Amino acid sequence: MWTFGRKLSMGFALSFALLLLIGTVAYRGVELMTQTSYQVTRTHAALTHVEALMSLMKDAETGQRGYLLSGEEPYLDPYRHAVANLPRQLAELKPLIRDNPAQQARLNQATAMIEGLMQLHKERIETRRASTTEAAMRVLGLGEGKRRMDELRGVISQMEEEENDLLRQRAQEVESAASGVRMAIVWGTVAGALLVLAAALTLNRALSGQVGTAVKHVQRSSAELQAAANQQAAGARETATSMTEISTTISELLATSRQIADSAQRVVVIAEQTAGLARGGDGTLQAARETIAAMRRQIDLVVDHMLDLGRKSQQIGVVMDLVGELAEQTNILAINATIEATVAGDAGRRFSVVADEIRKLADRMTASTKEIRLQIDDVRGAVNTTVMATETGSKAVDAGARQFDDVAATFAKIAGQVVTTTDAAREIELSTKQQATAVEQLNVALSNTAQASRETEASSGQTSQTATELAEMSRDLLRLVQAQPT
Amino acid sequence: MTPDRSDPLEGQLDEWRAAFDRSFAEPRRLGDDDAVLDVLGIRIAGDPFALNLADLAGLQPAMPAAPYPATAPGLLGLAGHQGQVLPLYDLRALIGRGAATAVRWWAIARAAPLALAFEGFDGQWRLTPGDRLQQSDAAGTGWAVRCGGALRPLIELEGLIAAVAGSQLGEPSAGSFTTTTSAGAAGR
Repeated sequence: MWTFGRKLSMGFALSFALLLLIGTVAYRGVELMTQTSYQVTRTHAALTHVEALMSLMKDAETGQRGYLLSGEEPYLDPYRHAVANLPRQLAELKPLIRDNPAQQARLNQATAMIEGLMQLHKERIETRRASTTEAAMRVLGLGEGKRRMDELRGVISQMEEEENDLLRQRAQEVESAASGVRMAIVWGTVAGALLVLAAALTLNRALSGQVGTAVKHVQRSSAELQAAANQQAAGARETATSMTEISTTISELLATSRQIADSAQRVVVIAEQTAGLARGGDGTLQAARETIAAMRRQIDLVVDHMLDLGRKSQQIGVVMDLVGELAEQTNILAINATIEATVAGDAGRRFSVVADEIRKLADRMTASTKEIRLQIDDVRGAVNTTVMATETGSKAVDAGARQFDDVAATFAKIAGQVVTTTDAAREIELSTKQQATAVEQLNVALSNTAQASRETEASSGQTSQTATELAEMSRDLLRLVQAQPT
Repeated sequence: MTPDRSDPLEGQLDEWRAAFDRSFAEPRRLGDDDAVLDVLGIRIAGDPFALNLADLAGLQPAMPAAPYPATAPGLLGLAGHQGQVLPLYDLRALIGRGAATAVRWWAIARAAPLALAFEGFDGQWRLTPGDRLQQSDAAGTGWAVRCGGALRPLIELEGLIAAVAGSQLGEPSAGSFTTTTSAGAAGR
């Protein structure tokens, strides 16, 4: 289905084309008439010049005849006037018949005739001047001039006839062109009237039909738009209220986030202090551990020395066994010496005394050896006890070192946990600050949204008002296009 | 460092030095030698006994005895002493105290060519006559000697040797060794 605009455009386009056609036809008709008018004017000019040429030739003949008859110079004035003007007339006539070869041929023929006549006139005039009136009259009596003049008149007459035919032909052409223009104007006007009438009917129908329907649609849409605008305004009011409440809640959330950030910052400070203390404790533990290690080395040294002492005591015991053995053997030898001295009787008594002294020495040596052995046993027992006590101490030191290692490991774990806690607290602080920033941005966005809701409410009111106005305008438009109340 | 004279060992050393020096300084008591009794303190079955040194020809540490196929009571085997082969008897068995478990000493008898094995040796004492006491209940011996403050029964080797010789000759052995007075021996 064609739209209203298309129909309107089509009507105007047809009217424009019709007007253009009429204008073109009329213009071409006027152009043709103008051309024909120019040609008629030129034909009239040519006729005028032909007639003037004929008139001049008549003047020349008349003057020549008068001079031949009278012999008086003043009669030659028409002749002289013709001689003076003939070339100009011929020159002016030639371009006027340039488009007609037959006329040109006639003009050439007439020009030759004119030149012959003028030569004849000249000769007669000269003859008259040199002779008498009778001689001149004879010449005239010959009738040569008249014959030539008649021939010239015949040619000139043909030329005039030709030009008159052209005038009639041009008149017919003008009449034909004027008729065409008239026809174009009449029929174009009729066609234009019909076209305008059809366009008016069509547009009227389109206005009262399509536009009316569209206006009714606009009316219904306006009503719906109004209802929607009302709903939108109500929704925007509710949105603005909700946004205000949410903004209040977010402000409280923001305050809480800032409190959390402050707490996290305090936690970071405390955790850093704890980490510093843990590092200090770690250093103290390290020093104590080195002290325990040095103690352990000293104890190992003491144990080595004590074991060495035990070994040397054992060697001393072996030496004492040797000494004891020697003492015992000395004792036995002394006893046997005593026995031998006894057997020797009186001779052996002196020796018996010495042997007894040797035995006493052996006894003392044995007793001393026993004491030394006891002392050595005491020393070895003390060494064993010391070694055992030292080993117990060493084990205790080892246990202490292990406990110190455990404590150091625990301190290291504590330090690590404190570092982890510090990092976590920093992350919490950072996250909370970011959260606070985000919440602030959210609050700003919510404020903007609330403002937008209020603006939406206002614009919804304006939309409702505009819809009302649009409905009224639709009714007015419908009245305008249908001329009846809706 | 000066030696500490208060130390008991140092005191004993001084005493021993003084006694040693004194032995050179004192006059010889050769005239009193008849009264001197040299005894050997031994230990049998844990009990202290004494042997008269004049009854012995030698004392030496025990060595493994060469076995001898004989059933004589108390005979342990054969012992070598200064190129002599001597029968070795268990002194504990000879005095009727049962067989010895471990003998460490051999004593060579002077009266007969035989050796006596016993378990322990405590020392030798030169005694004065006052240290020899008569005792009736000291393990069957009639005499005891005071050695170092303690009394030791004195074993009379002469009777033991006679008993051994008697058993070897087929005479009935004595139920217990006889104790004789050492006066004779002491008097030699």
